[in-house]
Order: sequence, then structure tokens, then C-alpha cells
Amino acid sequence: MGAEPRRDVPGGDAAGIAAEHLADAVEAALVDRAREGDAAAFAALVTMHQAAAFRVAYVLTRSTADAEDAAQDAFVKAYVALDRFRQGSPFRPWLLAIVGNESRNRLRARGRREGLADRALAAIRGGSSSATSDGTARPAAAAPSPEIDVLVGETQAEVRAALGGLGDDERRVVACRYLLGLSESETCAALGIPAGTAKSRLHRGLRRMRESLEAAGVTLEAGP
Amino acid sequence: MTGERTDAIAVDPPVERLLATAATDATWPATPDLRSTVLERIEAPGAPDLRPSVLTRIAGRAVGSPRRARVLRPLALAVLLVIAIAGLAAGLGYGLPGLDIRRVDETPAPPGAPLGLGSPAPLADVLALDEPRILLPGALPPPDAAFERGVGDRRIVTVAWRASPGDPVLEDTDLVLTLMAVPGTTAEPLISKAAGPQTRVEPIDVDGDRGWWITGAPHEIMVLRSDGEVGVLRAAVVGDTLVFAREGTLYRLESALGKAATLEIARSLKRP
Repeated sequence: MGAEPRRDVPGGDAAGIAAEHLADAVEAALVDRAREGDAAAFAALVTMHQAAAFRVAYVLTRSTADAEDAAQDAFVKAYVALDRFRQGSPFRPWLLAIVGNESRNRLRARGRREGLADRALAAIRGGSSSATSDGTARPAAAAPSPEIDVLVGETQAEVRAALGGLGDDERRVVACRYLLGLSESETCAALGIPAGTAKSRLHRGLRRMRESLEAAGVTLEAGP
Repeated sequence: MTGERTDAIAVDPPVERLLATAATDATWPATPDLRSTVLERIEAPGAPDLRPSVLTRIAGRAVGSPRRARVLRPLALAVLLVIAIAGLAAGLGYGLPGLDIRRVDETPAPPGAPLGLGSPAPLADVLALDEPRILLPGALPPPDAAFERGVGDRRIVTVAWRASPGDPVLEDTDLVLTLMAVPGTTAEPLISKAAGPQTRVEPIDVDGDRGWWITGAPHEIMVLRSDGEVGVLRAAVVGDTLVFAREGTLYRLESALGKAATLEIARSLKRP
């Protein structure tokens, strides 16, 4: 459906490109209308981008409930901030930056809550707390990785294992680029990192994945 | 907004291909209906003004420079004062020349009136319009109400049929069918882009015109106007929808009758 994240495919057929340009022109018109306070136009933008926003939030928060709240808040904040949106620039990276911020805020808040509960429990039991020194727990370490969980097919086992072997930072960049189909700038915006950092994490992540896949006996052509 | 579509410089094509295949088969959790909740929040009555800058902009546009404001403010106050005095006089029974105010217990409203379809309009008037050109289904009796919103190429005309006893109804209404007509057309990418994960879109043929049968979650329809502008048609009623364009007019049927019957109705549309 239309709300699926778009893929960066160089080339492509003329009809597809024309359709994308038409959709982009419409998106620009919708943004203009929404800036004038047209709620229906903004609702159409929400429909167009809700899947991408929710999935990015899901990758970052690792919880469907938090992802829903974060994406919803991000859309409302985007509406409020539309006057600050630079006219003529792409809407989705700007929106995903807000989604990313909301998701990270939510993750931090959850970490603080869990850390507090953890320390309280430790105090009651007289044992030691497993919270970190700054009072945050480790939701990221404790929770499963959603970008791995979505790969459920048997044929995906090798990719799943290779992706699971990456560090959080590398895995998120790889997930944004290839599983969510985000562009480079959308990835940077969603993760709140500069382009150079995204590039180096992507290179490192793919190199490590190649090593894992080859070690697992998957036949791959030579690397770059 | 496609400026970066070519930023995908291959890093490791074989690994990237594996990831691309994995992405195709990935099973993401269902996307919740954010559209409704966001719309509710930004439009909630009594909610704080989410767009303060809009007011500033409108006020700035309307009033302009401080000097202009100094002239316009007393004028606005004078107008308000006249209106208030006229209202007070009417309330006390002192009619103004040429003005006769009568109190009634209830104003009769046409079916569909509370749905925000526009101002009620005589059916004959909307049928006489060339833009948009309204068609009526030969398979049905004349509509029970007609509504009009906007002017010129922004005019939207809707006709509505009240449900008879035993008929299915559109959610939260006493209507069985509405037919909206608006100058313009639409296209596949616009329909599919505006459809969320909970919306199903099925291409359909309406007597040689490309159409779409849309079911599931509420949605907006984007309309391409002849001047290249894009309009957004918002659903006033929630129901299954048949959309198609013919000769410069976009038709939107919101129906409680199901696909087959609605398609039959659409195929019987003709100039009355």
C-alpha cells in the first residue's frame, strides 16, 4: 500500500518514476495546505507516512505500544511545527527526525522508570541494583531486537543471525536502509546521526554481516 | 521530494540483495490507525490552539501594518456594536425596518445536514451546475437532499439518499448513500498514497472509466484540479467508497449497499 516505506532504487521504469514525481508533487501541495491549517491535508500526510513513522519508532523503542505513542506524538508535534518546515524540502526526513526524537525520549523515560523500579526492588530485597550509575536501566539490552524479530521466515535465518551479530548502532543503520527502505538522509534524520557516521556504520555493518554469512556457509560473491 | 532516490550507492551488492529479499518477507507489527487519533487531537474542540502561528499569520494578513490596524480596529468595533444593538433590539421585540424575526421551536433539517456536507441547496440548482457536473443514478429515485460547498472550480456538490426502513445505513447517519461531485480528476498513485495499512483499494471499471473501490479505515481522496492544484476530499461519512472520474469531474459514492450494488448505481449515473 502507499504508506509502505519507499525504496531507493536507482533507475526504475519511466511510469514508476512519473508516478513517484506526481506523488511527490501532491505531497508538497498537501504540506502547503496543512501549513495553512487544513487538517484534512495533514490527515492525508499522516496516512501516507504512518507506516514508516511507526516502524522507525518500533525499531528505536522496541515496543509496539511506545512506538504507537511516539509516532502519534511526533505527528502532532510536526503539525504544530509546520511553520518551521522548510518549504520545498522533502517532508519525510523532517518528520522522521521528529519521530526519532520522540522515540529516544520515550526510551530514555522508560529506562529511568525501570531503573527506579529496579533500585526500589533492590532496596527492599537488600540486594544490589542492576541499574546503571546514571539511574537508567537497560531496556535496549534487555528487550529483543525488533528489526530481527520481523525476519521470521526460515529462509531468513542466515540474515537474521548475521544481523543479530551486529552492535545496536550498526544494526539500526542497516535496518533503516534495507529493511525499512529509508534513504540516507531519512536514516540520518531518524537516528539523529551525521551522514558520515551513518556511512561508516553501514560499511562496518555490511562487512560484519558478510563475515557472518560466509562463516555460516552462505555462498556470496566477492565483496567490493 | 525524490532528490535522494539515487543515493543508494552499492556497498556490498550480494549482502544487500539478501537484505532486500529479507525486507520483502519481513513481518512488521500492524501499523495502528494513527490518522484518526492524530486528527482527533489536532481538531479536538477545546484543545489548546496547536498552531498559534496560523493565527498570527491570518491576523498579520488581515490587518497588515500597525497604521492600518489603528484604522481597522475602531471600524471593527463599530460594526460589532451595531450588530449587538440590532440583536438586542430584535430580542426586545423592536424589529428593524425590512427585518422580521420569528421564533420557531425547531428548524427542519434535510437528511445528512449535521454531517458537514455543506449548505443545503435546492436539487434543481445543483443539477443546473456545469462545474461540477452532477449525475444521478437512473437506478434510484431522486435524492432526498443536496448540499453545496465552495465556489467555482472549488465547488463540491453532494446529494444524499435517506435509508428506508430495513435498509443498511452509513455509520452514524440515517443515509444509505451519498454521491459527491467535484471538479477534477485523480490517479492511481494519489489513491494508493492516501490509503493507509487498514484500507483496501481495488481497481474497478465503471463503464470504461478507471475507478477504485475503497474499504476499511477512513481516508482522504486527493483530487487533481484543472489548474494543477491538489485538493483533499475528506470523508464526511464513513462507509465503503467508490471513486472514479469522468469528463473532468471526480465522483465519490459513499455507500452502505456493498460493492456490487454500488457499482450498479455508478453505472446507471447519467445527466438528469
